[in-house]
Amino acid sequence: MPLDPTVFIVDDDLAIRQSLQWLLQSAALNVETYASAVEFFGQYDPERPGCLVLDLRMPGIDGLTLQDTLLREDIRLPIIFITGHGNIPQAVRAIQHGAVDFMEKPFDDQVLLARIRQALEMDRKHRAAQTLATRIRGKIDRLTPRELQVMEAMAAGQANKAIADHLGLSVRTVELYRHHIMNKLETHSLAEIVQMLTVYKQSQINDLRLPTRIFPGIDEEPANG
Amino acid sequence: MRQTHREQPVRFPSAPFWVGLAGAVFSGMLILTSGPWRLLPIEHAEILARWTPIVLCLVLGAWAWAARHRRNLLRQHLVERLITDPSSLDARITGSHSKLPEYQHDANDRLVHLQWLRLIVHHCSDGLSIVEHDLETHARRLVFGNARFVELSGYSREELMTCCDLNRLTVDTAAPEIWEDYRKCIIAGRRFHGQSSWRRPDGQENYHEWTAAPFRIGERYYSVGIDRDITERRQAEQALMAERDLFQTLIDTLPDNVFVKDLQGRFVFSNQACHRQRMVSTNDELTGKTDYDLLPPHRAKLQRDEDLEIIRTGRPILDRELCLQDERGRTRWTLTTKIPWRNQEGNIIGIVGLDHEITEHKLAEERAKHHREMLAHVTRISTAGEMAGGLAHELNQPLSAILNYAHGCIRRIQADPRQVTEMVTAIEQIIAQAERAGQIIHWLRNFVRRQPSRHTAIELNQAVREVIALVEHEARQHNIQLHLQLAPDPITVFGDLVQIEQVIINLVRNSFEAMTDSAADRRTLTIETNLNRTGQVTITFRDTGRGLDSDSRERLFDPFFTTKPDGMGLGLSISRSVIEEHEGRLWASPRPEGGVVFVVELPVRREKDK
Repeated sequence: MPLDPTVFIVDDDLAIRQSLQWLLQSAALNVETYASAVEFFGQYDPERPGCLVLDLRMPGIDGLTLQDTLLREDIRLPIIFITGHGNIPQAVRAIQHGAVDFMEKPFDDQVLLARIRQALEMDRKHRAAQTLATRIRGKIDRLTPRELQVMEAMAAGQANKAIADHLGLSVRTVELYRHHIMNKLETHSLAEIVQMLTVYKQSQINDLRLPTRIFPGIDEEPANG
Repeated sequence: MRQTHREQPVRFPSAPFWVGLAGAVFSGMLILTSGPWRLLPIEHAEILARWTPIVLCLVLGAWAWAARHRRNLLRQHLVERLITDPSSLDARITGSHSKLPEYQHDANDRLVHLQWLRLIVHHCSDGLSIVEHDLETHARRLVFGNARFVELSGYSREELMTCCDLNRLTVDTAAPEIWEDYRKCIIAGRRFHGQSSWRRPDGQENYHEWTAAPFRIGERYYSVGIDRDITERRQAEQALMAERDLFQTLIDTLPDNVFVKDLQGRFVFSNQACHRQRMVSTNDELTGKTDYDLLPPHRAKLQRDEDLEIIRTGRPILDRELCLQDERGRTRWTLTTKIPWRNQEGNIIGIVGLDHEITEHKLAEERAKHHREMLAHVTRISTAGEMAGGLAHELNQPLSAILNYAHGCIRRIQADPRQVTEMVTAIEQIIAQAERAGQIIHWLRNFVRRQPSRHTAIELNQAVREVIALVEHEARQHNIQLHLQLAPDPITVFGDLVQIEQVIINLVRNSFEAMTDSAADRRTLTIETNLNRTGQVTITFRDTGRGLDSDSRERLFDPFFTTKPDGMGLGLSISRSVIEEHEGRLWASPRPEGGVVFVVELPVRREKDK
């Protein structure tokens, strides 16, 4: 089902593009090269997993602008910046906006490959998490508002009696709701319900925060760790 | 006035009288020898026949003698009359003017001649005079002077006629010993002539050129004098002389060599500068010599060929620069001008030449050029320093690529040592990238190396591309869009590649700096190369920077004028001097839509320039 991850290289210098492609291919990676940000942005399908090796300075749209554009479009492809000679403000800005790394040319192939693998792993996990969140959301969205209230109370660890009192229902009705919830969410364990609700809430928060993220790397935290 | 000659002229029997007499005698004899002839006794007739021819011959001889004598006497008489009392003839001549239409009479005939003579004398534009000379005292007494003579003297006729020595009235500047010569001429009756100056009573000095023809009557010596006033001619001559002296002085004090040669190449005239150069002291030493006498044969031939060309075509040579070694082996430069020398009819009769020495000027020019080159070199180094970031990036790119290929190769070899064929591509790429880096180093080394200006054929589009490759990184850093609109065909100019590239770099970087204040989305530098129809190549730099205020516009190309806090202010000044050294122009003008356009104009290199 999921496609093989691809390393997307965006650099205006043909020699750099070709040599990087050669290097990464020798590490058995899928590589695609683009001469400009516009070319990449026009052709990239957000469904495709992978990571982006991006030149910081390019004629026309530069690397940092492409990063912002991708964020605005909620395309969370991990980015490794490469540059001839960058400066600290640029590096800080790139990292703040979620870049995996900021590397100066010429680079050590081992470090680069390690970073690329790391980025691909991040992307994989992120995509997996997203798939999970989408599935959970799909299930939770099937609940009625009353059922959602009951579910939140359950996740908070309240007993049926407390829920019935709190929502002004009979214990019996609460039990019925509980049964429906379990069916709709296709689960039998309260622990799973708690986890589902956490993921659901998190995705809601992320939706609200978009398109700008002040604190980077929240959803990549597991990967970073 | 003496009255000795005032007597009536001697009357002589005229020619008709003699003819009549002869006729009477002859007819008488005929009568005697024919009819009544026979009446005479035969002895008488024989006597008559014997004597008649003799008598006739005697009579005719006497007539001829008398006629000659009469003519002489008449001439003498008239001359004397003319001398002693010219007015006595007036009545006769003027009075008989209308009454004597024909040469009816011998005497009248002579009077007509006299009248003509009189008119000629009267109207002659030269002063005519007859002077009696006293050989003892050298006194000269005027016996006759025509109107012009009186006018020339400056005195009235009465003053002249009553004066017993003309020498007292006129101050003759001739030396006394000359008078002795004149005296001899007067005695011998030889014509003599001379020039003298007269001081007139009005103080003016008159110059006369005169001829005197002496004659004598009895023991009196006279001379007929013709005086010509040459004051004006003399003044003109003197003015001409003064002018000639002035010009000679002027030409002699000229530091330039001035010379005139005839058609055969011989020197006709030369000034002192020319003498000094040719190591002679006077004009005469040079006059008549040719270049072959003065120069080594090969140079003389060059000169001669050149002169012949001018003589043939009539086209002058103007300010032709010539470099040669002088006698001491020093290099000298001259500017030579040679023009055909024409006579009044416009025919070429020689060459007028002028050699202007420009060695000092030339040396100063060389020094200035040397300084400019040094300055250009210093600013190139400074430019290279400022460009170091961009250059480092340009070097970094191929080095990174090389590293990537090399690492890739190692990985592949480690994975499968037998996979060699695909390495070739990578290694080729490594070579190409290493060459790319090498070219940058090579360019940089050339750019900062100090070397004498070396002119070669330059392809301008290529030069622009080369420079752009080096400043591209800088443009990216400043978010500047570079647009190249290069002419489709190669454009070749003749010049020093490094210097031309320096100008392009200066102008490009100048534009970059001008655009740092502009909005990030409208920083565009357009570089255009063009070959226009007039044979000029232009490189145009259009930026969208802050433009030019009037002060900057005027002083833009002044050395040390800069609007940048850390600029030296030499970039544009040096660019302009480089372009001008390449016989081109560099100017700037504001664009109506904002920003500045810089234009470099260079002459295109044609085939014949090779």
